[in-house]
Amino acid sequence: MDIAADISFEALSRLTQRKGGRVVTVGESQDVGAVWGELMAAAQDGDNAAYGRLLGEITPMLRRVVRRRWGEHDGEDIVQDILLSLHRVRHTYDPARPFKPWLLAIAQYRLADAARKTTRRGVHERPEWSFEFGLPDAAAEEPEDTPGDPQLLRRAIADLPEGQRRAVELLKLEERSLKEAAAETGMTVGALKVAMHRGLKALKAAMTGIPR
Amino acid sequence: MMNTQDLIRSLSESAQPVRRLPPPGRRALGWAGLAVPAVAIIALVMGLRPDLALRLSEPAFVIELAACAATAICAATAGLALSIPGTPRAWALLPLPPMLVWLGGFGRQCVLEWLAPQPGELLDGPHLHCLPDIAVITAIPTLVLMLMIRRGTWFRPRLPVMLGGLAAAALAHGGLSLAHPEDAGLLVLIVQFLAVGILALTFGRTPGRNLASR
Repeated sequence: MDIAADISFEALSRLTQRKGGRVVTVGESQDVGAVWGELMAAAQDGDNAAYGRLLGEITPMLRRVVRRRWGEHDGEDIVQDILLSLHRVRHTYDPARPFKPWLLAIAQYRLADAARKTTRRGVHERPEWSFEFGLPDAAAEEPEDTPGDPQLLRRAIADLPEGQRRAVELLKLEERSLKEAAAETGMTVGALKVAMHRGLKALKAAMTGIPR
Repeated sequence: MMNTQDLIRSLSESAQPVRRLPPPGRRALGWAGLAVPAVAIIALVMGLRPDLALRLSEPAFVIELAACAATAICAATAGLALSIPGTPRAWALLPLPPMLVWLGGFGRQCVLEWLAPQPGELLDGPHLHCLPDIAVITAIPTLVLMLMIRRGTWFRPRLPVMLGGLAAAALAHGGLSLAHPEDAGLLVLIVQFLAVGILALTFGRTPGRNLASR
């Protein structure tokens, strides 16, 4: 079942007509879109301040879009996913075209993905908290080494420098051999090993908060 | 979970200038600028068909060739446009009119041969010996266009990949019709659509994590 496949683009666009709890006129809304378009164009040219301002300004709107579809639960995760996706594809924005349809399309993709993931998780997860599988042992000690926050790990990986990120993705996430990863990235095996080592160190620092 | 404000700060501080994608039409022309000479060179290496001058004097042949070129450009433009978020899906209809003219040419030829007293070559089963030539001539346009589509976003790649395949098939058919005396167009289409269909189904289902994050 693809819950979000039926999210209509118009329905998402309509949400942008509300601003800070009040309904803004279409003209006003278009002005905001034009300003955001300019900020995005500046960001593409390397203006980090404009980019920070843009991301800050679009986030409340993204929250409304996500909350409307998703409710409060896990909504912030999806908002962050949308921001990360926007970051990755920011080269595809054409300043000659309106900004909002571009942004809302990215939001729509991420919402659909989130819905799909939830559906898939629902199918594969066992109802462990039930008599059928036995109740969990409440007296058992909590394992010291918890798996950690997967979202935080994903973001930490995304924040790594390009070479280290590729090394971690290929060698750890996709479990490729050094030789395969070297062929794919064009890096030498030695360079890959170094990138992998540094990447893991940086990830450990990011996850534990202890500086390297 | 990381704080959203921290995420925004880290993204904006680390953002490097990016090279904007040119408009899809210009990118499609760029693709044609690379793929047309490649296809033409391969057709020349294969050797032009002996009756080319005669065929070029037939309006039907010229119209079909022009429709092939138009289909290729329109499909490439649509495929590249649809790899940009927010592009209406109606763009996928762009190559439809020239494609109908191009495929109409097949239909017309089939009917003519069917009515002719002698059996023609078009209905004489697929020309399997053309297969290696088809593979060679479609490879470069397909590969280049797929890489260009990949430069956009890869959120829902099925439609862009299929349009890219159509563009490459149209161009390859145009090239082959200059080289092959037999009309191998049908086989080009079948082979190309099989390959692209598999590609589109594989990538279009659920992109892998590293692709999905693009």
